[in-house]
Amino acid sequence: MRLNCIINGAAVSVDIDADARLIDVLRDALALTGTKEGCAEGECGACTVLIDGLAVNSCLVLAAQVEGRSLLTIEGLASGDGANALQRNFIERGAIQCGFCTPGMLMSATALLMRVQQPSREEIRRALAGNLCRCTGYEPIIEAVAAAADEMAGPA
Amino acid sequence: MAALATALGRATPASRLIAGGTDVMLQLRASGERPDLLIDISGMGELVFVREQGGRIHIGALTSFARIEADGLLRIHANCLSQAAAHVGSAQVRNIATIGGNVANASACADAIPALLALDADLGIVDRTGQVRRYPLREVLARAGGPRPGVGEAIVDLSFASLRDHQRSAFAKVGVRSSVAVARLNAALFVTLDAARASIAGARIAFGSVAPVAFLDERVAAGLCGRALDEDTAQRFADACAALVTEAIAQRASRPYKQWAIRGLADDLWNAIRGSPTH
Amino acid sequence: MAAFKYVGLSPPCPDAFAKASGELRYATDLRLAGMSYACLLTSPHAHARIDSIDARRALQVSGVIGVYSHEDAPATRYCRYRIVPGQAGCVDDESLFAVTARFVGDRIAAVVATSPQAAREGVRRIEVGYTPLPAVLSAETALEPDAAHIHAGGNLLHRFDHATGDAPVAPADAVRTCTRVSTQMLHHAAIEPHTCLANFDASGRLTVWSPCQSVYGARTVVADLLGLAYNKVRIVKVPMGGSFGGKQEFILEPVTAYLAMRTGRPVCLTLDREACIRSTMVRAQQRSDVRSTVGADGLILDLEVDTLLAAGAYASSSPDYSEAMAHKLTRLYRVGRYHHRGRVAYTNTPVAGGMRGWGAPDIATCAEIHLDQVASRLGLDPLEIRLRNLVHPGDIDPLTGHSVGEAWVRRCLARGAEAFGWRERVGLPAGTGRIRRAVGLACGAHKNGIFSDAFPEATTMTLKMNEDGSLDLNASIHEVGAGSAVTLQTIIAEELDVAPQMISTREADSESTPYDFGCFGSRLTYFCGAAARALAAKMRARLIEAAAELLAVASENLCAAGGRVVPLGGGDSGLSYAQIVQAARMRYARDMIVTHTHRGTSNPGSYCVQFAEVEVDVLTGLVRVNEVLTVVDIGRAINRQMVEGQCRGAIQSGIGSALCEEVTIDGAGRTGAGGFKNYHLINAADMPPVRVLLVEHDGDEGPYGAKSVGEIAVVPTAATIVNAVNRALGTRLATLPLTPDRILAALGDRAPSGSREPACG
Repeated sequence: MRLNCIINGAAVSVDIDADARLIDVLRDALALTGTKEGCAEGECGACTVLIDGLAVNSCLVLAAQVEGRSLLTIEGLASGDGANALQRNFIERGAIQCGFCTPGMLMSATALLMRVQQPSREEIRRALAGNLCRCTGYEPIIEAVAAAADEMAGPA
Repeated sequence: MAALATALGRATPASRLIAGGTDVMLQLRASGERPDLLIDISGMGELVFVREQGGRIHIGALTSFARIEADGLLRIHANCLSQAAAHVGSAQVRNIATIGGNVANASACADAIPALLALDADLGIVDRTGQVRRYPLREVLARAGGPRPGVGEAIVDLSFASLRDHQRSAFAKVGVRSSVAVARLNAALFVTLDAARASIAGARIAFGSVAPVAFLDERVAAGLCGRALDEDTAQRFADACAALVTEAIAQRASRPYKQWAIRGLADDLWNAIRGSPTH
Repeated sequence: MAAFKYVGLSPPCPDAFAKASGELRYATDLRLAGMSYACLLTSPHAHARIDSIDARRALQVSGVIGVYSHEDAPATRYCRYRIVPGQAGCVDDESLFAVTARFVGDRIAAVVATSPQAAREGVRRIEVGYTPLPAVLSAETALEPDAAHIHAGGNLLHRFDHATGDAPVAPADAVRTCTRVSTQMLHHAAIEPHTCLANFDASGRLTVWSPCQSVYGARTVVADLLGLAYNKVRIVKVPMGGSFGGKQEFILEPVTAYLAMRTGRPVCLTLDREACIRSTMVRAQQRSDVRSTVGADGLILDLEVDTLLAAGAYASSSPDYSEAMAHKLTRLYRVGRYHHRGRVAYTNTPVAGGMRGWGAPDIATCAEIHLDQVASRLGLDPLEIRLRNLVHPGDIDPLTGHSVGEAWVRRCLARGAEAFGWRERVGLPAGTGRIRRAVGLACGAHKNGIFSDAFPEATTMTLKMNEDGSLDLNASIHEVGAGSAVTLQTIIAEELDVAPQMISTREADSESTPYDFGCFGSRLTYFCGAAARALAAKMRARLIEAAAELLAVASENLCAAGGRVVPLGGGDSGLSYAQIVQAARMRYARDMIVTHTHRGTSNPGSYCVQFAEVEVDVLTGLVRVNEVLTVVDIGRAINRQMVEGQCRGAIQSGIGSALCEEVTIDGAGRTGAGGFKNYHLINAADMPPVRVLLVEHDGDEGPYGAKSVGEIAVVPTAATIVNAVNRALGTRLATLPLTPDRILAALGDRAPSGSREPACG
């Protein structure tokens, strides 16, 4: 079947199997390999993408379910050729080690900041609870999200 | 809806209905099964709603847990359901998992089911003729064997009575982690207080994760009736919950743990009903 | 303390933006032209003879290219852990495909297909006839006289007996204490699943792309197994999404290489999470009986340990791993007499192998839980008993005869105790309500590199300066995500006084980067860092020598500063590095390239001390960790942020091992953990705030005094948490993890089925 949707701002039309998972279509058919697969059961969050602004595990979604929707993946995050505020804070604050969870973390954080402009540390922790990281102990990630939120809100 | 009925008309026992898909996707991948028909209802916006009508709260079957958790009406009328929704999986899962899917899949540890049982919810189920019939949730869950809803059926909405101001509900859960954890125990309590709000006039309590599917327990509920909101009742309530769990899972390896841990849930439920902080 | 220009700052890793933008290609992201996909069929039985393998139905699946098993693969046995040919301690007991299934998850066959789906479907359709054999699921039962043999030589894989010193005559008021501590099988839980790619080209060359920790080690194993010359096998280390030791041994490289050779196509093999947990390797299950005699003054007079470790179905690194457990405590404490006996048994369970800390967390968990019990019996503060026994700088480890070096663990403990407020908090009541609160602490020791009397420590690196003054470091770097590249960049930058960004690094490739053993043994910063510093010093000397010729001055009168060679005492008559490179080439046909082979001659102790506060819910048995303070004897932080990152990540892992992580085995040998749904990592919501204190000093052979951090940081964590829980509850829990079930059971009469911790054997 044919899937039509918007990915990172561009209209996409691609042939898919009816039972194909979204993550496979992104990674294989569309070569958007920034979205990672860590568990295939919606537990690790490495495959997180945004559908109409909501964070979802792309391993738990049928590609067919995003017909007509607007998707944001890690490849759509950078502004032009540079890092956006979240990415820059991740880089500067040691929120990235091996980097495999990073795309999913960034997408969950992006969804949070679209919904809540200045989240508390508790809100950040809860929003990221579905994204596992074995390297960082989470704290630099949480601090990076908070710092990016502060930056995006501008001077108080 | 007409299209749904048509699709349901083509369904066979080998067909699968997909709402959010968080359970079905895993089941299909694990089994390698390829259904003859995948009916994807996730795009049916008309099944996403929370509204009050005729003294009852109605929730569309495709309403996500994120939406339920955030809904102001439900916080007032169904605190236990708001709490249960907040305890479902991760933010990503709450964004797509639906209340209808949680009920249809009816896993032993589904968080919404104890809450809906405590609220005495009923289900609207559409069949292949397009007709919607209503069934009490407790009866649907008690149907012997087979998937619920059946082949060629789909849950379209759930409803329960609006809360009156002397009624309260609470949900409690224990998992391995404080969040994003499958319930090892979950329970929901609904009470109607007397006019002076000093004692319990009526109660419903549902337990999850101690049987193949969550259930209401009349004895524990009856034990609360007519009792004052005091420490003595709290103790009796905890003892009754513990006795029930001990009996329910007499043969299971988890019994030594659960028969004690249920006291923690009883404590949480009681504190929530009394309106005081847990610790 | 010397002032540094770059050391101690926190520049990001060179690949950070590539990771943040999704551009970095990990093994699972690589696509080779004509790539095919492999899927493994693994054993559903813990122990079974394979009678028949019928692949006919699998071969009918559209897209299936071939099905491979022991029926066609070489029967050669190999050791997945071997780094150098002929390595002592390596047991060749594993083959590409099992003839006898030895654990649930053992490799039986592989399907190669044009798509992952077809490969999976092919696996489902292979029919295997098994005759189940008696399964041996624990080290205890494996060593019983009538236990079924897992390998021909019997189940006792390895034993050791190390003793040193004589116990002083124990005074009458000395206490003798025994504690049996058990630690569990753990999953490394790198978020990147195990993946390997291989291609065998028409010219007979095999290339393997793997997120591995030793390209040269992998090459010897793969080439020897497949009968290829070493120069026909190229192993390329690709970006790695976490290892924690889980990708240290060569698990997928041999089978993927074989499948590529057989099919003549590029093959990609990726394991799903369940297979990563079950079929790669785990941290060993072990139990140790720790017996001590301690004087009333708290001095450890005698310490005896008896360890029994389950190796799983194949030896892998378990013999060496168990030996490592015996070589930690004498670097941590001054002990009158130390005696450690160990036995390692084959079991029909997942293969045990190296994991972060290599035996050090395992033995520290045992000893530190034990020491708290001793302190409690003596009425001593746990802080005090440790202060009285910890090693001092320059002590000789009596077991090896080598110095523990600049061992500043006592300062770590003292500084940490003050920062944590230990003395004020240790005496606070735990409370009597539903929530009990208490603090705990523990110490740990590990190492710095692989130097020992039995194994050499060496590496070779090349540094080249370009015409613009930029530099290329050619070294076999195996970046695991912990900052290897930025660490080496920083050291070279400091030594040559150029910006770290001026130095490019590359990852290990057995075809083009110089020999190195690999990334393990906590050797990167301490040893490879020292090598990089010496290499840079060599480059500096070469630049000064060339500048001296160009300027016609004596080289003793020149020095390097700010990217230039300038006269001592100032003046502006110097030359920039770029000018030197250009002029040396044009005038003297001389290249600014240096190669250095560095040899290690020391292996001082690395140390870490941790403090934590926990709250235990006595109704649900759930533990909440409120805060952790970790103090590391780092010597020198080369990249402060990466060092702190190692410390924080280690705490996440250590808390999990204390409380909730476990690869369980049921009565049939099946792993209970099928994925992250029931193998629980600490997530962001449950992670406590962590404070990191670094104790810095000069000394030892590491660059600027730097010592290792990645492994030592996890060593005391589990014991710290367990000690805090025991203090909160007044229990003596010593079987890990402290699940809610075990906690409620230990509360005895509070919970109906009260059970006691097992006594020492």
